[in-house]
Amino acid sequence: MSTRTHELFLGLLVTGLAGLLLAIAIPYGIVSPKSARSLFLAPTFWPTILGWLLALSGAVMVCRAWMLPDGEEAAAPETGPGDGPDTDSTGHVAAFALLLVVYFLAIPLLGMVWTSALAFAALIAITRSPHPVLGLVCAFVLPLVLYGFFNHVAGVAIPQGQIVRLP
Amino acid sequence: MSFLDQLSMGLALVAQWESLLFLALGIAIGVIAGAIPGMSATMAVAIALPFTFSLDPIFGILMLLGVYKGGIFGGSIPAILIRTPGTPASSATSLDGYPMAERGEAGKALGMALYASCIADFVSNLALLFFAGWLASFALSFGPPEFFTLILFSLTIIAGVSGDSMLKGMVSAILGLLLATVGLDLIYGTNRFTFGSSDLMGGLNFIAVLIGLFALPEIFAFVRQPRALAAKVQSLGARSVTLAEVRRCLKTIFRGSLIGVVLGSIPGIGAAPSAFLSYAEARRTSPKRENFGKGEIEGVAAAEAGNNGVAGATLIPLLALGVPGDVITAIIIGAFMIHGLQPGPMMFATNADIVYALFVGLILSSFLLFAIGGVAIRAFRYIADVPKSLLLPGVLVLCVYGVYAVNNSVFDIAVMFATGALGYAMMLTRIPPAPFLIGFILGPLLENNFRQSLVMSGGSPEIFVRSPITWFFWALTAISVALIIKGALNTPVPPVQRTQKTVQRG
Repeated sequence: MSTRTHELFLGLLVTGLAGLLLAIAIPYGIVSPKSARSLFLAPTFWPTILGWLLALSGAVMVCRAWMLPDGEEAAAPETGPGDGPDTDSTGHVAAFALLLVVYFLAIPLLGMVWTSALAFAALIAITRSPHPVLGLVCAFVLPLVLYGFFNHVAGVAIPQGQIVRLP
Repeated sequence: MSFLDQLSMGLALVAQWESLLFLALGIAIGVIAGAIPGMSATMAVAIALPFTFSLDPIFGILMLLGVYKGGIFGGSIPAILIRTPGTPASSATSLDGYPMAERGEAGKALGMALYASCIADFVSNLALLFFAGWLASFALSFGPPEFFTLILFSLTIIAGVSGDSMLKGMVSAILGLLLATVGLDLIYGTNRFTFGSSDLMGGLNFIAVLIGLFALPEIFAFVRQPRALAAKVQSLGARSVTLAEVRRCLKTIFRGSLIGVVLGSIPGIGAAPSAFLSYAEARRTSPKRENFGKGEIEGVAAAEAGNNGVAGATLIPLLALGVPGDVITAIIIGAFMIHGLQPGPMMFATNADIVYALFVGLILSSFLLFAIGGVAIRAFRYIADVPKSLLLPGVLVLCVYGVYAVNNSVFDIAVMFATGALGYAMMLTRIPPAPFLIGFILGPLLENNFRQSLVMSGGSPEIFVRSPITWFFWALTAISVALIIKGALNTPVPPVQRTQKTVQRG
């Protein structure tokens, strides 16, 4: 993707976001009392100002991108020697994003300790760590140590799961 | 109460073994984190923050300040040994440090970096001790309109943390300001962007947003392209820095320290420009200027003095006015709030003992840094050997526990994951995250002071020009904005890069 296309896309995205904010999010997402004494004191005032500033910034970005010379290619990513473009990279990122969703959803069921251990192990698998055995040890030791610290030293009740409970 | 009374109160508070222990622990954590390529001082402070909740405010904040100071010095170790600066400000150190390491003089370069860092840090802390109280006593006469204009001026610091695109920095700051409006409206008590969720009524948790924005994108980037450290670690060599060499560089170190103090006390400038300015001044005035860039020890001293001279001075606007000077102090302002303290002029009246204890602790930190830094230099080989494929999953787990511990809320973990994804998208599109964070912190202060002023004046905007102080800040804001626009017009749009390397991440 050329720099011009990239910047143009980004400018349009920002402008679109500002449009959504001004047209939908502020009117439907903010409850403004009818008794508001002044426009400046209304709960919608500040977000509206920010929405317009965002729209203005987006428009300036589009204009700047429009004026850029076409064809200038985006600089290559800074990769190390022999790395080359990683064909699995998008899949890795998607897998990590999915892992985060599962991590969050599994905490009430498995508890934070075991969910964290499994997430650690899964991340080692996703990144194909050259230290799988050490990684698995760390995956279980670290969450347990943190549980010990937060639960017994800092007095924070770490969520326990419904399957295996810790003292 | 006199200055000496306050100082002795602070001394009494800091003269506990726990204060020194947590300060030393913080410095050790900071030096290690700063020395690990891929970690940064910002990330280290963010991750360490939740571990201070169970501590007394003085111990917790001293520990975080230790992480900050240690992280800044720690960044110079990989800069010299593997030409991979641990922090943006350490880039100047690598200009002469790495050529020295290639010549087998890494031990000498690191020794000089340590001396320069500790001396500059000490000078910076003295500046903090003498100027913060004076500035705070001046700011005690501020009301909401004065604070509104001050915070508005402070928002122009975004220009300093926007990297190479001011416009993207502005977009980032607006998004941060917008996110800060989520929750209950303070005057009318109505919902803003909560969409029926009771979890959102109290607003978004600062720590969750902060860690999501600064720690998770690094993990995303690593997952996208897992790779080990490819650079060769240079050996320390047999020669270490001599006292004669330190004496020869003292003038450069003090000049760099003063540059750091002046630039650090201005919000938004940060350590990197200070390090490069100090380096440029040293090269301009040195009789050995032709050796700069080829392994001149004076270059290392200048860069490190400029870099570390900022560390204490950035706390002057933070403690005296409640305005963060850079990204790390923006995180530290959150730490103060979590421990029930509100940085600003009133803190000097209500919590003078804690303020002066922090000053004394910071001065002690310069000496502790000297001792701990010396050990870290020798241990770097082991620090650099920590595999990233184990380190970053560990960071993820630390983040989850830390964010949960703030409010005992699983919802905050979701907020962290969401802002982490947002931070990664910003990394890919080269939108800097630092203005987002500053907008998120300053947003509520700006809006509350704006609305309080209008409530005071019965809705009349004339209150914003009621005093010479407000005029002063309006003038500063106007000058700052004019300079920013001039700079932005003269800066071409840089080519897009798909990694985080050139985006300033604090």
